[in-house]
Amino acid sequence: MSSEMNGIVLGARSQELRLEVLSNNMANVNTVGFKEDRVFQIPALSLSGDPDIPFASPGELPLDSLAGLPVGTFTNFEQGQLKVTGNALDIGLEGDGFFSVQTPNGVQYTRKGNFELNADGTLVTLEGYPVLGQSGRQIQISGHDVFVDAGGAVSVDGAEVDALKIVNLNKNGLLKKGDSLYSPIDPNDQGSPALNTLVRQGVIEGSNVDSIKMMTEMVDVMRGYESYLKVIQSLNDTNGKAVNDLGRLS
Amino acid sequence: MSRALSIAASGMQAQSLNIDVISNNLANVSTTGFKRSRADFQDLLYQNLRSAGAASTSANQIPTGIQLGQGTRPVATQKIFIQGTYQNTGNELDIAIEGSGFFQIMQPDGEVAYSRAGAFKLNSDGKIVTSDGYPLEPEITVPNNSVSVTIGTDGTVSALAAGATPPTQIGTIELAQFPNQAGLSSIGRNLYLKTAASGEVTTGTAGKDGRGTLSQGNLEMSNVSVVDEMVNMITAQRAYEINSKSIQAADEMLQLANNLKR
Repeated sequence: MSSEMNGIVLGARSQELRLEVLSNNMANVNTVGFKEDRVFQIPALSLSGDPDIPFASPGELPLDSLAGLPVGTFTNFEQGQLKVTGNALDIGLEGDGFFSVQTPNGVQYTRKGNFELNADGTLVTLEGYPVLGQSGRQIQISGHDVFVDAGGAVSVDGAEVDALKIVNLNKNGLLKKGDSLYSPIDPNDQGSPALNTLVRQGVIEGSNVDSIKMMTEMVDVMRGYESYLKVIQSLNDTNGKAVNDLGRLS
Repeated sequence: MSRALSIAASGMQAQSLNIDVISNNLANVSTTGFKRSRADFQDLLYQNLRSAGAASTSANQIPTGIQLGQGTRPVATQKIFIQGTYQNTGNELDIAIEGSGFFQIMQPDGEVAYSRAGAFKLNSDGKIVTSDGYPLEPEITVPNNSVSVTIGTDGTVSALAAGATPPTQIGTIELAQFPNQAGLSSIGRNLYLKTAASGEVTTGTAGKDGRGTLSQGNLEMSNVSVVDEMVNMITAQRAYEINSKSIQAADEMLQLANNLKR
């Protein structure tokens, strides 16, 4: 097969990956605190400029892997729409910060603020992971009236018990862990206190997936894919001519 | 590509559950003491096709990774215990709880269930019972010769006998509270059962320790707002639709790929 064919196959498979990422965004169009993923093309210059980055050359790309594609994904952390629910334990963040959550795999971070109390009166996520307070301890709520102010301080029946630990993280260095949780790639990244983030009680942050944008991108993906396949077809036709017609005597 | 199909299918399943929950809320829009539910979703595990930050050589790191999500799944249906609206009925055995707390209802199997629905009746023995005939716990019996029953804001029940003054106290309605009322399990008939997640029950006098007060002659209606549910339903339906579009797109792309070989 000609070498240009490989590049085109890579292009077509990048479009397949784009569709998979778009599908995941759309599946989470109603997930509280979800942030959409986007696919971007890694510029060809940076590929050739740094030979150490191990992109497989197209010829040796294993068929069952997408790892060699010249694309990457990143998460768009744009603010999702805040929806008023009136539920005292629904807490929305306005700004860049994250809630800190104690999971079995260490402290992870989330934007999903529809919390609950567990049987002990500890503030937990719906998965049952404790939400951490300023001091790094769990937050105990025993009382009737819970009030969370814009700075994240939690008061129960008028007495302040703790404050939510809201941190700013390096957003380019976060990995999605599922369950709406994020974990920094750098294990030493503890984040810094988020001073510019407003904490709003009684609201939840919706998914930031814009369905109209997703639909237009999906059209783009399909047409892009179609074009790549058309090119494969015409290359195939050309090859066919070369093989069958060239050198025919009459 | 088959990934896109299963991812979108997970989205459609989730939204279909969402519609089920919304339908149940709407069906109970005029059920006394009903609390609406909300379906909650979360994203599934991410597949790291290439890890950002991994070392490509000792001196270099891969600057960007490829993370591929696997779709969504329902994680909980959360009961929203915000106060329902009150309706004044004037009926002396209609009791609304203003604030938090639950009535305790004795089920036929001897287990206590909890309820916010305060439309009580008298049975043939004069016991105060729910519409299903389950007695209030602790039991309160209204004497046969009573002409009226008065229920104070603190739950004191007094009956006025014919020709006698003043009314005599015949019992007290106690309210139950939980550390986490959202953890109660619904068993239908407006009843909830305690679970490990709800925590241990504490009972006591209405109006004390954060418990609500009682209001005779009023009913707490459903806290479902039709407009909100309609908006949620539109959102859920469109979300379902958009997931079906990704299935269509994946299908069309597979078809294109299949047609490569003529």
